[in-house]
Amino acid sequence: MIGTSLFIGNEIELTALDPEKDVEVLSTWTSDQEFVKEFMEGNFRPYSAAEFKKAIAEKIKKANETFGAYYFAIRPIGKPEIIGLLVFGWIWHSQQTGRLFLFFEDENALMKFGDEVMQLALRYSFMELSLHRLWTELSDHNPAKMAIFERAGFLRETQRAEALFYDGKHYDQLDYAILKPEWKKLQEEVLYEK
Amino acid sequence: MKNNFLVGDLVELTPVNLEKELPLWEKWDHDSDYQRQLNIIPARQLSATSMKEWFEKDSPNSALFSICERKDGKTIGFVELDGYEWTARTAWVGIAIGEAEYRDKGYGTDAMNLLLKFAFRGLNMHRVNLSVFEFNKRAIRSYEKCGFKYEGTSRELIYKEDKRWDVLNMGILQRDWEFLQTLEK
Repeated sequence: MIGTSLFIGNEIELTALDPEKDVEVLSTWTSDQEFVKEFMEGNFRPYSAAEFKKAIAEKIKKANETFGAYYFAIRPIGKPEIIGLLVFGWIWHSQQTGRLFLFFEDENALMKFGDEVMQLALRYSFMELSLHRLWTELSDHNPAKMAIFERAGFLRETQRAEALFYDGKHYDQLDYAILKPEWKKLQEEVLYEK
Repeated sequence: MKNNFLVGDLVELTPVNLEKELPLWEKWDHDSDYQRQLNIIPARQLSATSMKEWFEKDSPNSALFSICERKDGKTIGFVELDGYEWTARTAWVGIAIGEAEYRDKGYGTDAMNLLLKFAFRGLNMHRVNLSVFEFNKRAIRSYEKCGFKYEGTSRELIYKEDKRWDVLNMGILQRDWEFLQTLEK
Protein backbone atom coordinates (compact mmCIF):
# COMPACT_ATOMS: atom_id res chain seq x y z
CA MET A 1 0.00 0.00 0.00
CA ILE A 2 2.82 2.38 0.83
CA GLY A 3 5.43 3.02 -1.86
CA THR A 4 3.47 4.03 -4.94
CA SER A 5 2.52 7.68 -5.03
CA LEU A 6 -1.13 8.56 -5.59
CA PHE A 7 -0.09 11.98 -6.86
CA ILE A 8 3.10 11.68 -8.90
CA GLY A 9 3.12 10.18 -12.39
CA ASN A 10 5.90 10.01 -14.99
CA GLU A 11 5.53 13.47 -16.48
CA ILE A 12 2.79 15.14 -14.46
CA GLU A 13 1.74 15.37 -10.86
CA LEU A 14 -1.49 16.08 -9.00
CA THR A 15 -1.08 18.97 -6.62
CA ALA A 16 -3.19 21.42 -4.61
CA LEU A 17 -5.29 23.84 -6.58
CA ASP A 18 -4.35 27.30 -5.37
CA PRO A 19 -6.96 30.01 -6.07
CA GLU A 20 -4.33 32.75 -5.57
CA LYS A 21 -1.70 31.41 -7.93
CA ASP A 22 -3.79 29.49 -10.47
CA VAL A 23 -6.62 31.89 -11.11
CA GLU A 24 -4.87 34.05 -13.71
CA VAL A 25 -4.66 31.01 -15.99
CA LEU A 26 -7.89 29.32 -14.92
CA SER A 27 -10.05 32.39 -15.47
CA THR A 28 -8.95 32.44 -19.12
CA TRP A 29 -10.40 28.92 -19.46
CA THR A 30 -13.86 30.33 -18.68
CA SER A 31 -14.09 31.51 -22.27
CA ASP A 32 -14.42 27.78 -23.12
CA GLN A 33 -18.14 26.94 -23.10
CA GLU A 34 -17.73 23.34 -22.05
CA PHE A 35 -15.40 24.17 -19.17
CA VAL A 36 -17.44 27.00 -17.70
CA LYS A 37 -20.76 25.20 -18.09
CA GLU A 38 -19.53 22.16 -16.23
CA PHE A 39 -17.41 23.94 -13.67
CA MET A 40 -19.96 26.61 -12.80
CA GLU A 41 -22.96 24.27 -12.97
CA GLY A 42 -24.53 25.76 -16.03
CA ASN A 43 -23.90 29.41 -15.14
CA PHE A 44 -22.48 30.13 -18.52
CA ARG A 45 -20.39 33.28 -18.97
CA PRO A 46 -16.70 34.18 -18.90
CA TYR A 47 -15.43 35.16 -15.44
CA SER A 48 -12.83 37.75 -14.46
CA ALA A 49 -9.84 36.53 -12.43
CA ALA A 50 -11.20 38.17 -9.26
CA GLU A 51 -14.65 36.60 -9.66
CA PHE A 52 -13.29 33.21 -10.52
CA LYS A 53 -10.87 33.24 -7.60
CA LYS A 54 -13.81 33.72 -5.26
CA ALA A 55 -15.81 30.96 -6.96
CA ILE A 56 -12.92 28.47 -6.78
CA ALA A 57 -12.08 29.34 -3.18
CA GLU A 58 -15.71 28.72 -2.17
CA LYS A 59 -15.82 25.39 -3.97
CA ILE A 60 -12.58 24.21 -2.37
CA LYS A 61 -13.71 25.35 1.09
CA LYS A 62 -16.98 23.47 0.75
CA ALA A 63 -15.20 20.36 -0.57
CA ASN A 64 -12.69 20.39 2.28
CA GLU A 65 -15.47 20.66 4.85
CA THR A 66 -17.91 18.12 3.44
CA PHE A 67 -15.58 15.60 1.72
CA GLY A 68 -18.09 15.78 -1.14
CA ALA A 69 -15.46 16.73 -3.73
CA TYR A 70 -11.69 16.61 -4.27
CA TYR A 71 -9.78 19.14 -6.39
CA PHE A 72 -6.39 18.71 -8.02
CA ALA A 73 -4.26 20.92 -10.22
CA ILE A 74 -2.38 18.97 -12.90
CA ARG A 75 1.19 20.27 -13.36
CA PRO A 76 4.32 19.06 -15.13
CA ILE A 77 6.45 17.45 -12.40
CA GLY A 78 8.25 20.08 -10.35
CA LYS A 79 6.84 23.00 -12.31
CA PRO A 80 4.42 25.68 -11.12
CA GLU A 81 2.24 26.03 -14.23
CA ILE A 82 -1.24 24.50 -14.26
CA ILE A 83 -2.02 22.50 -17.40
CA GLY A 84 -5.18 20.78 -16.27
CA LEU A 85 -7.78 20.34 -13.60
CA LEU A 86 -8.93 17.05 -12.10
CA VAL A 87 -12.00 17.05 -9.89
CA PHE A 88 -13.85 14.23 -8.18
CA GLY A 89 -17.33 15.50 -7.43
CA TRP A 90 -20.75 14.14 -6.55
CA ILE A 91 -19.06 11.79 -4.09
CA TRP A 92 -21.78 9.68 -2.51
CA HIS A 93 -19.92 7.57 0.01
CA SER A 94 -23.10 5.69 0.91
CA GLN A 95 -23.37 4.36 -2.66
CA GLN A 96 -19.61 4.38 -3.33
CA THR A 97 -20.04 6.48 -6.47
CA GLY A 98 -18.48 9.65 -7.75
CA ARG A 99 -18.10 11.77 -10.84
CA LEU A 100 -14.88 12.66 -12.58
CA PHE A 101 -14.29 16.06 -14.19
CA LEU A 102 -11.19 16.39 -16.31
CA PHE A 103 -10.13 19.55 -18.13
CA PHE A 104 -6.92 20.45 -19.92
CA GLU A 105 -5.71 23.82 -21.07
CA ASP A 106 -5.92 22.69 -24.71
CA GLU A 107 -6.28 19.64 -26.89
CA ASN A 108 -2.52 19.29 -27.15
CA ALA A 109 -2.21 18.78 -23.38
CA LEU A 110 -5.18 16.41 -23.45
CA MET A 111 -3.51 14.25 -26.10
CA LYS A 112 -0.13 14.37 -24.40
CA PHE A 113 -1.07 13.83 -20.76
CA GLY A 114 -4.68 12.53 -20.83
CA ASP A 115 -3.86 8.83 -20.51
CA GLU A 116 -1.36 9.36 -17.72
CA VAL A 117 -3.71 11.57 -15.70
CA MET A 118 -6.48 9.06 -16.20
CA GLN A 119 -4.39 6.25 -14.70
CA LEU A 120 -3.73 8.36 -11.60
CA ALA A 121 -7.39 9.39 -11.45
CA LEU A 122 -8.64 5.81 -11.58
CA ARG A 123 -6.18 4.60 -8.99
CA TYR A 124 -7.16 7.46 -6.67
CA SER A 125 -10.89 6.74 -7.19
CA PHE A 126 -10.77 3.05 -6.53
CA MET A 127 -7.81 2.67 -4.16
CA GLU A 128 -8.10 5.85 -2.07
CA LEU A 129 -11.68 7.13 -2.32
CA SER A 130 -12.68 3.44 -2.41
CA LEU A 131 -15.44 4.07 -4.93
CA HIS A 132 -17.23 1.27 -6.71
CA ARG A 133 -18.40 3.35 -9.66
CA LEU A 134 -16.81 6.37 -11.33
CA TRP A 135 -18.83 8.23 -13.96
CA THR A 136 -18.53 11.21 -16.22
CA GLU A 137 -20.62 13.18 -18.69
CA LEU A 138 -19.20 14.05 -22.09
CA SER A 139 -20.53 15.77 -25.18
CA ASP A 140 -20.56 14.02 -28.53
CA HIS A 141 -18.80 17.02 -30.09
CA ASN A 142 -15.55 16.10 -28.33
CA PRO A 143 -14.17 12.84 -29.77
CA ALA A 144 -10.63 13.37 -28.41
CA LYS A 145 -11.91 13.40 -24.83
CA MET A 146 -14.17 10.41 -25.50
CA ALA A 147 -11.16 8.47 -26.74
CA ILE A 148 -9.21 9.10 -23.52
CA PHE A 149 -12.07 7.77 -21.41
CA GLU A 150 -12.67 4.78 -23.69
CA ARG A 151 -8.98 3.83 -23.68
CA ALA A 152 -9.05 3.93 -19.88
CA GLY A 153 -11.89 1.41 -19.82
CA PHE A 154 -14.95 3.60 -19.40
CA LEU A 155 -18.11 2.24 -20.99
CA ARG A 156 -20.64 4.48 -22.70
CA GLU A 157 -23.83 3.74 -20.78
CA THR A 158 -26.32 6.41 -21.77
CA GLN A 159 -26.79 8.69 -24.75
CA ARG A 160 -29.13 11.54 -23.88
CA ALA A 161 -30.55 12.94 -27.11
CA GLU A 162 -29.93 16.68 -27.62
CA ALA A 163 -29.29 17.31 -23.92
CA LEU A 164 -26.40 19.75 -24.48
CA PHE A 165 -26.05 23.02 -26.34
CA TYR A 166 -22.79 24.50 -27.55
CA ASP A 167 -22.18 27.26 -30.06
CA GLY A 168 -25.70 27.29 -31.46
CA LYS A 169 -26.27 23.54 -31.73
CA HIS A 170 -27.71 20.74 -29.66
CA TYR A 171 -25.48 17.73 -28.98
CA ASP A 172 -26.12 14.41 -27.33
CA GLN A 173 -24.80 13.95 -23.82
CA LEU A 174 -22.80 10.76 -23.37
CA ASP A 175 -22.64 9.25 -19.89
CA TYR A 176 -19.62 7.03 -19.28
CA ALA A 177 -18.74 4.93 -16.26
CA ILE A 178 -16.22 2.37 -15.05
CA LEU A 179 -16.71 -0.02 -12.15
CA LYS A 180 -13.97 -1.08 -9.76
CA PRO A 181 -13.95 -4.77 -10.83
CA GLU A 182 -13.53 -3.67 -14.46
CA TRP A 183 -10.61 -1.43 -13.55
CA LYS A 184 -8.96 -4.18 -11.50
CA LYS A 185 -9.28 -6.59 -14.40
CA LEU A 186 -7.57 -4.07 -16.68
CA GLN A 187 -4.72 -3.73 -14.15
CA GLU A 188 -4.18 -7.50 -14.22
CA GLU A 189 -4.09 -7.46 -18.00
CA VAL A 190 -1.47 -4.70 -17.98
CA LEU A 191 0.71 -6.70 -15.57
CA TYR A 192 0.33 -9.80 -17.73
CA GLU A 193 1.43 -7.91 -20.85
CA LYS A 194 4.52 -6.64 -19.02
CA MET B 1 -61.58 33.10 -14.10
CA LYS B 2 -59.94 29.76 -13.60
CA ASN B 3 -57.11 28.79 -15.89
CA ASN B 4 -57.24 25.07 -16.47
CA PHE B 5 -53.69 24.69 -17.75
CA LEU B 6 -52.70 21.99 -15.24
CA VAL B 7 -55.93 20.00 -15.04
CA GLY B 8 -56.02 16.51 -16.49
CA ASP B 9 -58.55 13.68 -16.69
CA LEU B 10 -57.88 12.28 -13.22
CA VAL B 11 -55.72 14.80 -11.42
CA GLU B 12 -54.87 18.45 -11.08
CA LEU B 13 -51.44 19.91 -10.27
CA THR B 14 -51.60 22.55 -7.56
CA PRO B 15 -49.05 24.51 -5.53
CA VAL B 16 -48.07 22.75 -2.32
CA ASN B 17 -50.27 23.72 0.64
CA LEU B 18 -47.74 23.37 3.45
CA GLU B 19 -50.14 23.54 6.36
CA LYS B 20 -52.38 20.85 4.99
CA GLU B 21 -49.78 18.67 3.32
CA LEU B 22 -46.74 18.52 5.62
CA PRO B 23 -48.35 15.74 7.69
CA LEU B 24 -48.89 13.80 4.45
CA TRP B 25 -45.21 14.15 3.50
CA GLU B 26 -44.23 12.97 6.98
CA LYS B 27 -46.53 9.95 6.64
CA TRP B 28 -45.19 9.05 3.19
CA ASP B 29 -41.56 9.46 4.28
CA HIS B 30 -42.11 7.16 7.25
CA ASP B 31 -42.56 4.34 4.71
CA SER B 32 -38.98 3.37 3.86
CA ASP B 33 -40.06 1.56 0.67
CA TYR B 34 -41.49 4.85 -0.59
CA GLN B 35 -38.18 6.64 -0.01
CA ARG B 36 -36.19 3.82 -1.56
CA GLN B 37 -38.18 4.07 -4.81
CA LEU B 38 -37.60 7.81 -4.88
CA ASN B 39 -34.09 8.62 -3.67
CA ILE B 40 -30.63 7.18 -4.06
CA ILE B 41 -29.35 8.97 -0.99
CA PRO B 42 -29.97 7.12 2.27
CA ALA B 43 -33.58 7.12 3.47
CA ARG B 44 -33.98 9.35 6.50
CA GLN B 45 -36.56 10.94 8.76
CA LEU B 46 -36.84 14.72 8.56
CA SER B 47 -38.78 16.75 11.09
CA ALA B 48 -41.67 18.90 9.91
CA THR B 49 -39.46 21.93 10.62
CA SER B 50 -36.62 20.67 8.39
CA MET B 51 -39.08 19.77 5.67
CA LYS B 52 -40.67 23.20 5.89
CA GLU B 53 -37.28 24.85 5.39
CA TRP B 54 -36.75 22.69 2.32
CA PHE B 55 -40.16 23.57 0.89
CA GLU B 56 -39.72 27.25 1.48
CA LYS B 57 -36.52 27.45 -0.54
CA ASP B 58 -38.13 29.05 -3.57
CA SER B 59 -35.78 28.27 -6.45
CA PRO B 60 -36.04 29.89 -9.88
CA ASN B 61 -34.83 26.55 -11.25
CA SER B 62 -37.57 24.26 -10.06
CA ALA B 63 -41.31 23.89 -9.62
CA LEU B 64 -42.99 21.58 -7.13
CA PHE B 65 -46.64 20.58 -7.38
CA SER B 66 -49.05 18.55 -5.32
CA ILE B 67 -51.00 15.96 -7.26
CA CYS B 68 -54.67 16.29 -6.34
CA GLU B 69 -57.16 13.74 -7.57
CA ARG B 70 -60.11 15.56 -9.03
CA LYS B 71 -63.06 13.61 -7.58
CA ASP B 72 -62.53 14.36 -3.88
CA GLY B 73 -59.72 16.90 -4.13
CA LYS B 74 -57.44 14.60 -2.11
CA THR B 75 -53.66 15.12 -2.29
CA ILE B 76 -52.16 11.81 -3.41
CA GLY B 77 -48.54 12.66 -4.24
CA PHE B 78 -46.20 15.21 -5.72
CA VAL B 79 -44.39 15.92 -8.95
CA GLU B 80 -41.43 18.21 -9.46
CA LEU B 81 -39.57 19.72 -12.37
CA ASP B 82 -36.10 20.84 -11.37
CA GLY B 83 -32.52 21.44 -12.46
CA TYR B 84 -33.52 23.78 -15.29
CA GLU B 85 -30.68 24.36 -17.70
CA TRP B 86 -31.58 27.29 -19.89
CA THR B 87 -29.08 26.94 -22.73
CA ALA B 88 -29.95 23.38 -23.81
CA ARG B 89 -33.42 23.97 -22.25
CA THR B 90 -33.45 20.76 -20.23
CA ALA B 91 -34.87 19.84 -16.84
CA TRP B 92 -35.35 16.81 -14.57
CA VAL B 93 -38.56 15.34 -13.29
CA GLY B 94 -39.36 13.48 -10.08
CA ILE B 95 -42.75 12.06 -9.16
CA ALA B 96 -44.26 9.99 -6.38
CA ILE B 97 -47.72 8.75 -5.52
CA GLY B 98 -47.61 8.63 -1.72
CA GLU B 99 -51.16 7.35 -1.21
CA ALA B 100 -50.81 3.64 -1.97
CA GLU B 101 -54.40 3.04 -3.09
CA TYR B 102 -53.89 5.47 -6.00
CA ARG B 103 -50.94 3.58 -7.48
CA ASP B 104 -51.20 1.64 -10.74
CA LYS B 105 -54.45 3.34 -11.73
CA GLY B 106 -53.29 5.99 -14.16
CA TYR B 107 -53.05 8.89 -11.69
CA GLY B 108 -49.27 9.11 -11.94
CA THR B 109 -49.33 8.95 -15.74
CA ASP B 110 -51.93 11.71 -15.88
CA ALA B 111 -49.87 13.87 -13.49
CA MET B 112 -46.67 13.26 -15.47
CA ASN B 113 -48.42 14.31 -18.68
CA LEU B 114 -49.49 17.55 -17.04
CA LEU B 115 -45.96 18.17 -15.84
CA LEU B 116 -44.68 17.60 -19.39
CA LYS B 117 -47.27 20.08 -20.62
CA PHE B 118 -45.98 22.56 -18.04
CA ALA B 119 -42.37 21.91 -19.14
CA PHE B 120 -42.94 22.00 -22.91
CA ARG B 121 -45.83 24.44 -23.36
CA GLY B 122 -45.32 26.53 -20.23
CA LEU B 123 -41.54 26.80 -20.01
CA ASN B 124 -40.67 25.89 -23.62
CA MET B 125 -38.22 23.21 -22.48
CA HIS B 126 -36.49 21.25 -25.23
CA ARG B 127 -36.02 18.07 -23.25
CA VAL B 128 -36.99 16.44 -19.95
CA ASN B 129 -34.79 13.83 -18.21
CA LEU B 130 -35.58 11.24 -15.62
CA SER B 131 -33.92 8.39 -13.79
CA VAL B 132 -35.78 5.36 -12.52
CA PHE B 133 -34.56 2.44 -10.45
CA GLU B 134 -34.55 -0.96 -12.12
CA PHE B 135 -36.85 -2.46 -9.46
CA ASN B 136 -39.57 0.16 -10.05
CA LYS B 137 -41.34 -1.57 -12.95
CA ARG B 138 -44.63 0.24 -12.36
CA ALA B 139 -42.94 3.61 -12.84
CA ILE B 140 -41.08 2.48 -15.97
CA ARG B 141 -44.37 1.42 -17.60
CA SER B 142 -45.96 4.75 -16.71
CA TYR B 143 -43.05 6.77 -18.14
CA GLU B 144 -43.17 4.79 -21.38
CA LYS B 145 -46.88 5.58 -21.66
CA CYS B 146 -46.06 9.29 -21.42
CA GLY B 147 -43.56 8.92 -24.29
CA PHE B 148 -40.25 8.76 -22.42
CA LYS B 149 -37.61 6.78 -24.29
CA TYR B 150 -35.02 4.56 -22.66
CA GLU B 151 -31.56 6.03 -23.31
CA GLY B 152 -29.25 3.89 -21.21
CA THR B 153 -28.40 2.37 -17.85
CA SER B 154 -26.22 3.65 -15.03
CA ARG B 155 -24.82 0.33 -13.87
CA GLU B 156 -24.73 -0.47 -10.16
CA LEU B 157 -25.37 3.12 -9.11
CA ILE B 158 -27.44 2.04 -6.11
CA TYR B 159 -25.91 0.14 -3.20
CA LYS B 160 -28.52 -1.02 -0.71
CA GLU B 161 -29.38 -4.25 1.11
CA ASP B 162 -25.79 -5.32 0.41
CA LYS B 163 -26.60 -5.44 -3.32
CA ARG B 164 -26.00 -3.21 -6.29
CA TRP B 165 -28.82 -2.06 -8.54
CA ASP B 166 -28.98 -0.32 -11.90
CA VAL B 167 -30.67 2.98 -12.67
CA LEU B 168 -32.38 3.43 -16.04
CA ASN B 169 -32.15 6.80 -17.77
CA MET B 170 -35.02 8.06 -19.89
CA GLY B 171 -35.74 11.25 -21.78
CA ILE B 172 -38.34 12.95 -23.93
CA LEU B 173 -37.99 15.76 -26.45
CA GLN B 174 -40.49 18.56 -26.87
CA ARG B 175 -41.18 17.75 -30.53
CA ASP B 176 -41.78 14.05 -29.75
CA TRP B 177 -44.18 14.86 -26.92
CA GLU B 178 -46.07 17.34 -29.12
CA PHE B 179 -46.34 14.69 -31.83
CA LEU B 180 -47.88 12.26 -29.31
CA GLN B 181 -50.49 14.89 -28.41
CA THR B 182 -51.68 14.97 -32.05
CA LEU B 183 -52.26 11.19 -31.91
CA GLU B 184 -54.18 11.04 -28.64
CA LYS B 185 -57.62 12.42 -27.80
